[in-house]
Amino acid sequence: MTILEDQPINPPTTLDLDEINLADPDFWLRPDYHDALAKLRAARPVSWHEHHDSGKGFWAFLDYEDIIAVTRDWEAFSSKHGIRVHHDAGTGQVRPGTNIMIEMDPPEQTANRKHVSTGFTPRQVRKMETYVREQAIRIVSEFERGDEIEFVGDIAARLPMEIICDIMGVDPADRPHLLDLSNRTLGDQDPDYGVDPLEGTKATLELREYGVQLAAERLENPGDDLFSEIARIEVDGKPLPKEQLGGYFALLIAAGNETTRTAITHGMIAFSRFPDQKALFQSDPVGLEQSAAEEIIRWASPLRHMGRVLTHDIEYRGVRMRTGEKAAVWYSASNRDPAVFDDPFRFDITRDPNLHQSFGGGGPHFCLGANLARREVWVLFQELFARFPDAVAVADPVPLRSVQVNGVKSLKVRL
Amino acid sequence: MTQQDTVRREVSVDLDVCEASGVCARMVREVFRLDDDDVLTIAHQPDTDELDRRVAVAVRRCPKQALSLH
Repeated sequence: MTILEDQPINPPTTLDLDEINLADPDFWLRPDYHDALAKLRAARPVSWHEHHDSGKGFWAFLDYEDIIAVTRDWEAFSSKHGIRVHHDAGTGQVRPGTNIMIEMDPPEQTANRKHVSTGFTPRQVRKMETYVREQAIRIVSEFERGDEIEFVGDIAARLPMEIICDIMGVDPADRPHLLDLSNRTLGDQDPDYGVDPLEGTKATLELREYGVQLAAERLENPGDDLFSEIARIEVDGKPLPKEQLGGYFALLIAAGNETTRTAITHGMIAFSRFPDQKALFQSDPVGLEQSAAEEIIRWASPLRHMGRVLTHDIEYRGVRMRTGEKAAVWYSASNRDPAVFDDPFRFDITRDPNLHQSFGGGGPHFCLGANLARREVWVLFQELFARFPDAVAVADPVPLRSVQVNGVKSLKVRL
Repeated sequence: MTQQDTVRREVSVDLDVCEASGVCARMVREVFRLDDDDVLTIAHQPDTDELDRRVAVAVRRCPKQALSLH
């Protein structure tokens, strides 16, 4: 029996409905948060939540079908005014807008995204198969059987970081620094990463500044990396302003990093809690690669929510919402919706179809890197278990305090 | 009315909108294929109620709303 096996997967919540506050980072550290989400979804599929410090708030959508509807209705639920519910003037956490595709609406967003999306199509990602596998083998080969490692930093964070940095053409010497900046950017609610909430903003700006400088360098000296192509993007015959190039860089580094790392880490936790599923995967690692990756990504729900802002007054499910109010769709809830997933608290690597919403509910902003993320996840576990068939978590994971990402700061694993 | 007489809906893809995420191809392999250049092709129009139903779900689940049934 592994250390995680005897822990309840979904302990019943002790919270009353009115005590459930998705704006509270401490809510997400509770072992019963999934059951609280289920309780809230059943009673109030659309509900209002407020930050303790600023009193500002947002509408939360927890239902799978509602999330599809909201995500696709970009005219009512706009991305233009920011996508983070927890960044508000009153909370001390404000980010200057990036003015790039993730914070745009169509048709502007469509025109921008197509320049970047060509780098991540299934064909492009298939071409990277050998390369991704070589990276995974290189990383796991640094360790020996029986080693006790800190899985997040030693393995899970490294594969996505190396790959996104190679795609973007980042100098290997700069990567540890960029990883640190990316951690601070997304870890701005966790005292371990920055006691001062402004630290996160500082890190974001630094990441963007690195991108601005790299873009200037690549314009002069283009390589065959994706960022050289992005630097040359022209929309309506005009090059992108340098602030936007910095924004693209920060977005791709942070998005390519944190989410896949989190998926891989939760995959390791899940395989330790469900040894039958690990044995099943080991019995057919190629045949099950796609469905296993999909289930790991559903189980992990790396990004908890995406935010939108209402462009006009609407009434939805009998709830009146006003222009300018924030709204957020919560994948942490929809990915465990029993109306969509049989026995949602069972980690089942054979689920098919597995239409989780970890890549979003569809619409203009559906995750651009989905195909790359899937491949990184399955290749990593194929190579990890090929070399270390008995790899298992030997201590509880240390979760990141965040309303935004389902991050794990550390996880002790015995190889 | 026999199966053959039923007026079937046809599925089509707007290739200007499709981003080749492959959701449909994973859901209904008999109908949707991504070729080696990431171009989505309709290999087979739905010819049974069961296939029609599954294609309808895939159309709804397409993240880019690039598919339509008519």
